[in-house]
Amino acid sequence: MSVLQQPVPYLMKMRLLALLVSMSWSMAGFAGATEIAGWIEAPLQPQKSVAAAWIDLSESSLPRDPSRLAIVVRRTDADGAAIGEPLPSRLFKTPNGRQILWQVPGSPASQEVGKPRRFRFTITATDDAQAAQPSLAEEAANLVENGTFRETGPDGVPTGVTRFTGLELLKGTSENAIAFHGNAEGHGPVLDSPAFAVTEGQAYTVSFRYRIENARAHERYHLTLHSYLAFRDGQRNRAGRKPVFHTAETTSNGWKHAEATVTAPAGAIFGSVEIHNGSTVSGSVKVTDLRAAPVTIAKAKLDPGTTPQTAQATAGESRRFNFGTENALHWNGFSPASPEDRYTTEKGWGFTRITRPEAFDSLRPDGLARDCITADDAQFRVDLPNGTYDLWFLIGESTSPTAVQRYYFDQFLSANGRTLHELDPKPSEWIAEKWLRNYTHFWVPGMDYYETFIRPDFEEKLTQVEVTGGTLLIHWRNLPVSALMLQPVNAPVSIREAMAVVANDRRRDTLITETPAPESASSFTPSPDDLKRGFVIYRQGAEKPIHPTTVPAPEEVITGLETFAAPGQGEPVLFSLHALKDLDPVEIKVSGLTGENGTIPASALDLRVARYIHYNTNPRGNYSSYRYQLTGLPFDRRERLPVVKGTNWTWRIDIQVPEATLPGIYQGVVRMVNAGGELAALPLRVRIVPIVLDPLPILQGFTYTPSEPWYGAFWSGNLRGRRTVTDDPAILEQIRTNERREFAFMKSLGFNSMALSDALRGDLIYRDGEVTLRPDNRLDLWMELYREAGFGPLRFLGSVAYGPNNDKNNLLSALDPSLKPPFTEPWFRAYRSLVKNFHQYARSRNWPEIIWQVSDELSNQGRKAAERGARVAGSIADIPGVRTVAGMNGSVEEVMIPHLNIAMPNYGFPITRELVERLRQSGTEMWAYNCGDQRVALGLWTWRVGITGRYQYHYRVSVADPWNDAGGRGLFSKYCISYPGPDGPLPSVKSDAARAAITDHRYMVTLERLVEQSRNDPAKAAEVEAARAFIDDLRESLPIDPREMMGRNLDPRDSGGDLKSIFRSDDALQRIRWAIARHILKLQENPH
Amino acid sequence: MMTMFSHASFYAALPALMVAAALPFTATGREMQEPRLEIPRVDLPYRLDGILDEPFWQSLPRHGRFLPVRNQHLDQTEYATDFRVARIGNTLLFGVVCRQPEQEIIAHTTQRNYATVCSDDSVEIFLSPDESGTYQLAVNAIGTLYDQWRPREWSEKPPLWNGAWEAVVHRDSHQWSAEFAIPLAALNLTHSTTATPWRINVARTVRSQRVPVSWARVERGFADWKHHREAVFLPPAADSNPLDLSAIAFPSLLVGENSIEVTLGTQATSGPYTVRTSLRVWEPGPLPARRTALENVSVRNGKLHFPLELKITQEGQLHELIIELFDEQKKALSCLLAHTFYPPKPLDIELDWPVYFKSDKHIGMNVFLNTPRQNRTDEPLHLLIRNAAGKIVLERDQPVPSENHFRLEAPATSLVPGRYQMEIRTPSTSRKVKWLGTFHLVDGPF
Repeated sequence: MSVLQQPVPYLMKMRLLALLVSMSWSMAGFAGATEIAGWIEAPLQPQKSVAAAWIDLSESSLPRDPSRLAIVVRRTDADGAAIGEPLPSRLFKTPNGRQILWQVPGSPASQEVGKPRRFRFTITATDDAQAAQPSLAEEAANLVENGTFRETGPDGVPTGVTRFTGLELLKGTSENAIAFHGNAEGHGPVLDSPAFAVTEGQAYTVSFRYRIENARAHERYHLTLHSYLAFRDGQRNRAGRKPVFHTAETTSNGWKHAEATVTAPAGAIFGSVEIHNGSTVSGSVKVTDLRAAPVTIAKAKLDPGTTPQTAQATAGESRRFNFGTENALHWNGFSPASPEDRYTTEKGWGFTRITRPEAFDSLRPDGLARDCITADDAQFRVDLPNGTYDLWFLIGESTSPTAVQRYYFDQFLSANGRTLHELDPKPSEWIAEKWLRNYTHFWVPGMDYYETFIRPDFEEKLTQVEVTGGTLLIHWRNLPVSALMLQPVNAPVSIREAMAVVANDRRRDTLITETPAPESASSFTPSPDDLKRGFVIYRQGAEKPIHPTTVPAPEEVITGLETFAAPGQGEPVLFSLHALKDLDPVEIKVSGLTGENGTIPASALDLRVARYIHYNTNPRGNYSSYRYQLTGLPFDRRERLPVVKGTNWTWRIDIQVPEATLPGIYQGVVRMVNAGGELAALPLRVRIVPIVLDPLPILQGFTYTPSEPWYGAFWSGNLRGRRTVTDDPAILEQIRTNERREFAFMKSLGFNSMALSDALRGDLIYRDGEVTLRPDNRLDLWMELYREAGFGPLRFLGSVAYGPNNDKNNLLSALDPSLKPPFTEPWFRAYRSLVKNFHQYARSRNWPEIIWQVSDELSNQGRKAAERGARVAGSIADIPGVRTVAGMNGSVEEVMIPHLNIAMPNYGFPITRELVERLRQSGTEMWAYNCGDQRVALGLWTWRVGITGRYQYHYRVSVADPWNDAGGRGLFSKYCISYPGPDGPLPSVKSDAARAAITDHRYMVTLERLVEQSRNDPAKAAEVEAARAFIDDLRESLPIDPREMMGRNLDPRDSGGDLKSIFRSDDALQRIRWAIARHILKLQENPH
Repeated sequence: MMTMFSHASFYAALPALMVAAALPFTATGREMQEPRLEIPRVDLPYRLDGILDEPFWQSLPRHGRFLPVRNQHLDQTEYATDFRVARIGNTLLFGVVCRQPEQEIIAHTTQRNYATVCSDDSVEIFLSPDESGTYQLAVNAIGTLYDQWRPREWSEKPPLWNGAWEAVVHRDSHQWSAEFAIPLAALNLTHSTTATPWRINVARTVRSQRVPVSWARVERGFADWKHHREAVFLPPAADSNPLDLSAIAFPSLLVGENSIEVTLGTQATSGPYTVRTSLRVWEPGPLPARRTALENVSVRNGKLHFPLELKITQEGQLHELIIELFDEQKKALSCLLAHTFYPPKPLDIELDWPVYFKSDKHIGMNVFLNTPRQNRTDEPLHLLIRNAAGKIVLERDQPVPSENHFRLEAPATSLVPGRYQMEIRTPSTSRKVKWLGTFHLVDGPF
């Protein structure tokens, strides 16, 4: 869905691209000329560097053998004339066009560093193969001198490396490498590349190669290598750093490439690649080939005459503006324009009026579209000679780093009084469509990420306008305007041609990288039959990641599907197809299941496919590029799937066993068909066991933030053009529908609670010393639905915003000046009234119990914050009917425990046998949160520790675009167990793990109940003993400390190693569940 | 120095932590020359108990003015730190007093050489006898030690240095204190002597406040040796160590009888030596007494080479081996060498499944055999499976391959569903090592 309703159609864009390819006459060429000449520009660096520039050459006018092009690059004098010896250079072709690479000499004068310097180039066609040989060995731009450490000083230290402590130079044939001395502290030594000049706001691609062998990560950081682009200001003081790559690999199996794109922050003048060793084993980590280069590559400027007609119109008649933030960059001839750029007659352009402006810089996708300006009312004036002008607008924004989507209502755009665009979308339709706009983009082989996910976020608007009186006035409301290009209609290069050039430049300025899936360790060799069929069918453990290129292991190949379940239980079976050749699109058909005692209808079998999403692999906080790994996480419905050699599809059949199903074995068949007929038929067998599972005995759920349109309705900070959308009754109905669907899904997983994160900002009032909920608060709406869904007590996480976590932005203090600063006597009185009134209100509404969360992870703030937490918890401890909980991530928070009803540590607290015992003795109830989202961590571990509440972050973290993970913050798929779809939530690999965990727990408590009930029955004595032995063995083998269970060894030097890792295997847990079921069945048998 | 994070927030905070670790300290902007630290010789008896109650302590100069680093604030009265130092015989004795309410003291690390010792409430001493590197010796407030050698430049030497030094702590209501006894023989003084100035720093981490304080005005962390203070011994003495401890390497020490060879380089003619050793499961507190292992060990071809027989009986525990070389000619202790290690479990088994199905046909497992070669014979591995009633249902010998890690599959076709105990014994002559485990066998769902 687009911002504008009259966009340049997609097909037209494709035609424009085609035009670009064909318009050889608008580019530099040899038609009628013997050489092409011009100038290129690069910032000077402290040491020599390699710079790059695009050059658009007309391919059809090049010599028949374009490899016979010779390039010469020279420095220039003050007048721009070429001087000095030719610099090493090369001209070469890339998929995106031709590039010039040349060596920029280092500048010894520090005041020159970072300043752009011009170079002259000439390109000639030659028959002299020698002359056409590139004089530069480098094949890409690089600001890092001696990144392969080939040059060394007399002391043997690589040139440019100033700090060589703890490093060793390893000599190779074509390049050298650096090995790190191990460090018992787990952070260092550090390799710093020579510093190079950077431009703030500019994105840089940083890369290096690494090799890790037998490394051991320090227990604290769990990383063997981590790296950054470190920045310094003009005084060489640190100006922040941004992560590039980190790994916990202990062996990399050879050299690997690490790469990221990083944007230089404000104030950055210099950058350097900083690589930290994290291994305690000397020589186990090696690196080489350090590189850094700007993402945006400038274009070569051609001399007049070389280009008979250039893409730029004559100065004075045309203008190009790049709208954005104050620090916006010049991009390919576009002048930066920020809301601060007010119109002046001297300048001849600028805003004459702008109200409630917002300028966004999303850092992506390209130098032009990354930023934009929106406003309630913006009037932008450009002084021009009278005439008819073509106007082109680029409108849209990349919402990549934001948690919420912005919605634009009351959109308007005009030029000199002529309305170009006017639209006021209906909120209920607009929000749903906009937020889920990428849901329909189901990955299939060959999908172009740019064309699918990036280009449609931006609309191009083309029009003509008459300028009279020397002024062009552009007026817009509630539109994210990114760029404006205007030129006379009779400009030598038409506006459409100029648009095509801009589109091409933007595309090649957008960095998209696919992170390959880990290589399979499998040595699978298909049989002749497999090859003839063109595929194999296999099943891998449900805990293993799903990628399109995984090669199955021999033992994973299957000929049938089997599982077991109890009536009322949901149980999935997964299977995958690995294509050995291209096949016609494949469809899966699942029959109903038939047993001797009845049937399970096909309608109870939900067939879905693991949908590959573009899983964000950028380091956290790194938004300058798009980097993804195709990973199958959500399960979606798709009738037919294209099958391409070497790729996989994984299907999931979820069997929802009807409650009335009688025990026995039920059989059906899964058929794989395509246009050629049936490809395979897999028998599917399900044993239904006569077990009625006990309910889950604890409170369990995930952190929950309602999905859109909740934000738009109640927060409203993401709305432009409307103050609220709740005046649209359909919005509230949409919220009710969404919440009912989400709650039903959570209930289907077995959850009976959740942690609501909404802080109810704006729904509390302070009057006469009392804090109360507004009568029309949003919790009324939400809690009614929560109760209706049948959930138990709610953990209210939103309350943390009012408590001891926030000494600066305390929401309670924000209610009234008298409550500032927080934690004064008036503040404590107000806090107590909030808790008391909140719970009275809840009781009056007959809501399920609301458990008040006092604080969250105060250990991050130290002892004093924990003591503050204890005071705050203590201040409400005596309010009748109020139960309090605190999320605790460190032992300094132990001071709070006596004042709490429930202590809720996470794995970092840490949770140990001693802590569990201490809490048991103190009488404080114990819950746990964030102890892993794996099946064992959510299930049998919870049973083993004996806690009464288990929460995990997050059901679905808020993001602007849930179906474009690579374009987001990198949080979504990491903290998301179900995906939003137009018809409700979609299950995922993670939601299956959560459901399996709760089902495991229910099997176990069912067995424990039966053991207890049968303990005095002599006829069952043997089985009771056997079941008890099994329970005891399992309890003993599961660790209490979740770090151990999660694979974070408490003692990395302990030879015991990670023996608990077997519980990470889904198949192992399924075997345990079956053993529990066997004991239940035995105990249920009537021996008489 | 934070260790308390949720899963999510740990990674969120990691870059910030790393930044913090790399940021230059900004305790002061001073570049002035700090006065040299003078280390007087006392030669009076002392008891290493963490309490600075021997009278000589009071006669020693008190060194205070510990400053927080990274522009942090710390109440200098409530958390004052000071130390005294003296040479007693051939031992450096440090006494450090840390003001702090006892209820605030946070120290959890009980494993020696875990870096988290230094993020607990702890005191660290940095000694640079010469320009080759710095010794870092730390003790936390519950007496757990951490040490390492921080060389200036890359060398082939393993980074983990274990010193035969001692530290004992004491806590009372308003402070905690530590006494460090560092024998000069425990330091590699091959290229240095006590006659030339050393560089020294004493630093402290106040865990509850998350503030590190340093005596020397460091800029790049406690170990920023360039800003450590110079120290001289009074009276000057030319102590040096002829034995080069830097190149020593120990093989993996396993439960059983280990025969190892120790080789030390030497700079000068010395000896003959008496070799005394102690071997124990490490525990906080003073070093144990050593017993004579070899006598009249002489230097040959510039090397001191001798065999050692070490018997290890406990697995998984941190062991400490101390080797003392006593120069019989000079009647002086020449070398105190410490080596800490964890002997792996002699036999470790990873079962394929916690629950086997009858249809599996085999009980599959991975075997890790960690026994000294000399304790192994051609005797096969002995496998025994007992049912729930204790009756042996399977017994067989399994030839042992030469590798330490191999697969083993026990036939399960004759086993009926139930709980089983499995016992596997190693072919060790000196000691029958066995592994005991439990598995359950059930009929599968089909």
